[in-house]
Parts: sequence; structure tokens; C-alpha cells
Amino acid sequence: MDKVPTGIKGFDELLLGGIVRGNAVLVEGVPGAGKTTFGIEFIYRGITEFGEPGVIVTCEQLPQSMYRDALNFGWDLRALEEAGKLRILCTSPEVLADPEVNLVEEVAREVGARRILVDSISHFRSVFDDPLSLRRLVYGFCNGLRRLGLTALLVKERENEGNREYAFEEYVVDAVIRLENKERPGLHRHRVLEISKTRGQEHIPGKHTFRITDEGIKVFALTGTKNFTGRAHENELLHTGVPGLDNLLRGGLPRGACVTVVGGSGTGKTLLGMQFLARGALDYGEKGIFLSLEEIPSHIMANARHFNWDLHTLQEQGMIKIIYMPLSEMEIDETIIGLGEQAGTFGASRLVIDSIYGLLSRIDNAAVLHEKLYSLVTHLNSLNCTTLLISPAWETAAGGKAEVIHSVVQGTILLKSNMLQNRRVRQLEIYKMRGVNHATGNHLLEIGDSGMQVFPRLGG
Amino acid sequence: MQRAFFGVEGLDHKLEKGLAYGSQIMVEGDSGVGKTVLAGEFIKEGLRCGDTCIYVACDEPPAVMREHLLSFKVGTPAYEETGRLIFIDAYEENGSKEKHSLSDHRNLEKYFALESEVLHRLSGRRVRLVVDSLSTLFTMIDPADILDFHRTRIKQLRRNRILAMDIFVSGVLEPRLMTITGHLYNFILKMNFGGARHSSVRIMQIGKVKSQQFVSSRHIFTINPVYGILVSPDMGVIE
Repeated sequence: MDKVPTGIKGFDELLLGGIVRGNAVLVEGVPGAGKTTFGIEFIYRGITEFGEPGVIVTCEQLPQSMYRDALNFGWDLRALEEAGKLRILCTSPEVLADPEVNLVEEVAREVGARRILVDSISHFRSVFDDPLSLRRLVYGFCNGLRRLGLTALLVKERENEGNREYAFEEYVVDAVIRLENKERPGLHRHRVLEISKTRGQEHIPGKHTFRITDEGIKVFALTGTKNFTGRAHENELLHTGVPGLDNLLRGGLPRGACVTVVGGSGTGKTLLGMQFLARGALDYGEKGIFLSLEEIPSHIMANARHFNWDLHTLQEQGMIKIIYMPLSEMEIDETIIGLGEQAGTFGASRLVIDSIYGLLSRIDNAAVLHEKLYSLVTHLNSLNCTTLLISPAWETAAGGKAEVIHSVVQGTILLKSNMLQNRRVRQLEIYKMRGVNHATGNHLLEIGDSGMQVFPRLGG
Repeated sequence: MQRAFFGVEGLDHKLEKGLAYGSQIMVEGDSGVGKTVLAGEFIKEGLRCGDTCIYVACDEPPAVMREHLLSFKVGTPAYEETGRLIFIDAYEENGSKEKHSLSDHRNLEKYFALESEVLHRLSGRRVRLVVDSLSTLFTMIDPADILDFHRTRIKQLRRNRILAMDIFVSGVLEPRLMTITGHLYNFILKMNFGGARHSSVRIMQIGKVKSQQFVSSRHIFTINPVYGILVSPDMGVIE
């Protein structure tokens, strides 16, 4: 099958290579969803990366404003036009609909176009009132593009984000891509892309987040277990670096496992994460990544210094990487994919995400959370990376979400703070560790000058 | 096979075969009867035989044992510098100047971790360990936890062939707990005050020697400022 790669980052993975050559693809969405940018990038990448000249047909935007907007992404459309690889055709829908005028054909032949963007076909509605004639018009227009051998993106405007109504255009075209710009819990919106139809080719279903970056569109395609090759070292254990904890785990954490560390404020969760990385680097020569969603790196390093762990030096030596991603800028899919890439290229075998609550708070649907978390866990497992997911106490985690996490991960360690004999005592309990005959119950935990230490309960 | 002795002539005489390394000795006695003096004799004997000795000071600071040993012509600095004599301070909860100290007396787990860490560093050596007194460590602890501690710890000491002497002050722990605890030890020595009301004497009695025949007779003993504990050979005259 001859596929046309769009060149849009992450998108071609969803189509397992690209759009089938000669197909007409409907790109629909509400205002501000990113339809025009998507279309222009398709044309621009086609010319610059795949040597396929293109045509942009616009019914309302002037070429000047299109040049200006495209330049924001570093795409010099004017230069491409001057080089004879692109034509921007600003015309009315009536002209496009007139079968006597073959304007598109002329322009396409002129530059030898292989791709076309029509922004937007919604304007065809102004030509005909009756649905049947309108349908005939769109059908005829698409067939015309097919005859010219053009791979086409047809932009269509949606008026609301409500229930989906299937418009006739969706039946006429070969593929449908829906772009959304949705509200979500908190003050932020996020962009979502879904391929709802691809005639004659496979695609990865579901909604995928995307971002409009300085360089264009980036789709975060969670391909889940597709690349999962299984654990390289099935029975290998990884030392936690916390004295006493390995005894409870009968040697250490299973390599390639995802473990949540759950506890209230002040129970030592972040410290456990830091110690896991610092001691891993110092004692076992293993590289680690600390992804902070709440604290800035300088604070993390300052806290680590209290325990004589020089994270700054370890970072310079390439043993530890601290990544700070403020919650306000964090996109869950982007985080998952980015983290996987970082872990792979850095060669990390240890990973700490502080805290998973940042990821939790963005998702209000348990099913979506389950899916995302599953993708994260399988992705990290496939890299053979042992991950600690720092999580707030169960009581404070929003209802139901905590249970979702604990069902997906391989292990859960609970950190507690209890009053015993009028003294506040920290305790650690291994609640779950899949495939490990671990010690059960509460064990004394203490934080001293050299970090955390667990004292296994006597008597077994 | 190497055998160990207490370093107290009259007592060692009763143990012709001595004690195997890996044995656990329970010394139970009245306050002031001379348990710490016996511990000093035990350490002195250990140092003389080439053992590495650990003294866990729970009732008094380690300095008191240092002075006590010095009074019997055993200077400790040379032994400490060469790692042959190790003091664990389980007396000062805060601000101990000792190299090894127990910061919290309310958790047997922490004591166990500290003791295990010190013993781990001495693996391969012949070690004798004295805890003076273990009953003090137990005063704040729940009886069930004490039994758990004993089982785990004694198993480990036996496995690592540590010759251990645990001192218990009479009356601190419940009799039932003392009886159960006693089952775990190879050797029990009781040290009490006895005799007529007007002339009290110190008496020691072997309470148990596991897998060995022994005579459970009572012996008067005295503490001599020069020779330490002197055990009277007389038997059966004290009632």
C-alpha cells in the first residue's frame, strides 16, 4: 500500500505509516482546535521533507495572513511558492463548485502537486441549500481531487463540542480526523486528536493528546504494549539502597517493576525516591531519572545535601538526571512518551516520578486513567526500568483513582506515621509486591543523617 | 573444637567441657550480686583467649566497664584500637560519644539492627557478646515483642557462632516470660543473695546446661578486689 507520510510528529504512527495515497481526509474540529495548522504542516512537510509539491486552497484567509502564521512555526511558505513548489489559492466556494472552472486542476498541474489542503469545505454550504446537491458537490469535488492523484486534507468546521452528529462529508471522504480543544479539570484545556475512520487501512484507535509547539504539531501516540518485548532479566533483583528494606523484599525490588510509594505528608516518600536514585548511583553504579512535577531541582538538590548526597555532582557525572516539569505545563501523554524516551537514551535503570498525583489530577475518568497508567507502566517495564511512583495517601487521593493505580502497578509500599507510646513513629509496610514473597506488616522506619533506614520487625 | 570458659575458676571447674562458641548464656540475678563483675571476668577471659569482645552497656555508661576492667589490670584502649574490644552504648539515649550507640530504647528492632551490623563487621572472628542487662532494654516493650526478639536474635547468634551472655536482673520481667525466655538459652546461671537473715552471702547456681550433664548445686561466691569472683568449693551447706 502506497502511504503518504504527513511528517507530523507522532501522527504517522497512528496511521501506521501515513495516509493512503490519493485519499481524501476530512479534518474537522471546533474553532481553535488546530485544523489549519495541521493542514499547512501536512503541505509544508510534504514539500520540504518528501519532495511532494502542494496546493493550499483557502476560502476566507488571505495568503498574507497564512504566510505570517506559518512563519511562526518556521515555515516559509512564500519561499516555497517562489520556488514553484507551492501554490496558495485564495478563492470563493462558488468558483470551486463550478464544474466549468478547473482552477484547482490548473494550479495543481502547474506545480506538479501531490498534496492539497482545502480550508474549508464548510463554505460549500453557502453554495447549495439542499442537502442532496451539497452532497453531490462534495462528492464530485473529492472525486476530482482523486482523479488528479492528490492526497487531500479537507478542513471542516464544527460548531460545538457536543454530541457527535455524523455529517454526510464523513461518508464521502476516505478518512476522518477529529481535533478537539477540550476543557479539563483545573484551569487548563487540552488538545485531543482522534482518527474515527480510515477506509482501507488500519489505524490506532482512541483519543490522543497533541500539542502545537514552536515547530508545529506533535501528537503523543500511546502505542501501549506494542513495543513491549518482555523483561530482559526476569528474576533479577535491584537493591533499593535503603538499609533494611531489601531484607523485607527478600533481596530487593524486581527489575523492571513499577512500585507506588504511598504515604501522607512528611512520611518520607520523596526521600525514599531520592535515596533510591542516589544510593543506586553511588553504590551500584546505576543511572536514574527523577521526574519532579512539584519541586524545582534546586530544592531537591538542597534537600539531598542534608543526607550527604551530592546530586549536582552525580548529575554532572551523568549518573542522575533531574527533570522538572511544572504541573501547569504537564501533558500526561507527552510526559509518558517523553519519559520513556529519556529513560531509553539516558540508559536509566531507576526512575522516580514525584508525584503521581500530578498525573492523577489531570484525569477525571477512571477508565482513561487506567489506560494511561497502563501505557506508562508497560512502557517503562519494557525498558527494564524500575520505577517508584510517589503517591499521596489513599485518603487524600480522589475517590477510586488510587485503586486504579494499585491494580496496574507491580507493587505498593505504604509509608505511615503513627503515635506509639506518646511518640510519633514512622512505619513502612509492603502492601503488595507481585511475585515476591515479601515480609508483611508494619516495620519501623527512621530518617537519620544518612537517609532512611527500615528496621525489619522481629519474629517474622 | 574451640571451647570457651568464664574465667572464674570455681565455675569453670564445674564445666569441664567448657562452652561451645555459638552458645547463649543467661545470667539471672539480684541487683548488686555481681553480675557485671562476672561479665568483666568473661570479657577478660575472652581477651586473654584472643576473642573479640562486645560489651553492650545498658545500665551504666561504657566508661564504668572500662574502669572496672582497669581495676583488674585490663587496660582497654589498646584492645579498642585494634578492634578486639567494642563497646555499644545503650545507656545514653542522646549525645553518646561512643562509636556505637543505641539512639532509641523503645524499639528492639533498632537494637537488633545495631547488634547485627556490628556482628556483621566481625564475621569470621571468634566473638563473645555481653549484654548488661538485657532486661533493662525490655522494660518498655510488650511481652509478645520480647519473645519475637529473642527467637530471631538467638537464632542469628547461634547461626553466626557468637558466644553470647545476656544478663537479666531478677524481678524486672514476669516469671512466665523469664521461663519461656530461659528455654531459648543453652546455659543458665543464677546469682542471688542468700543465707541466714543476719549473714547474707552471694550464691550462684547453674540452672541449665543444654546437652551436658551438670550438678545443680549452689555455691557461695565472693568478690575479691584483686582476684575477682571466687567460688567456694563447698556444696550443700547453704539452706
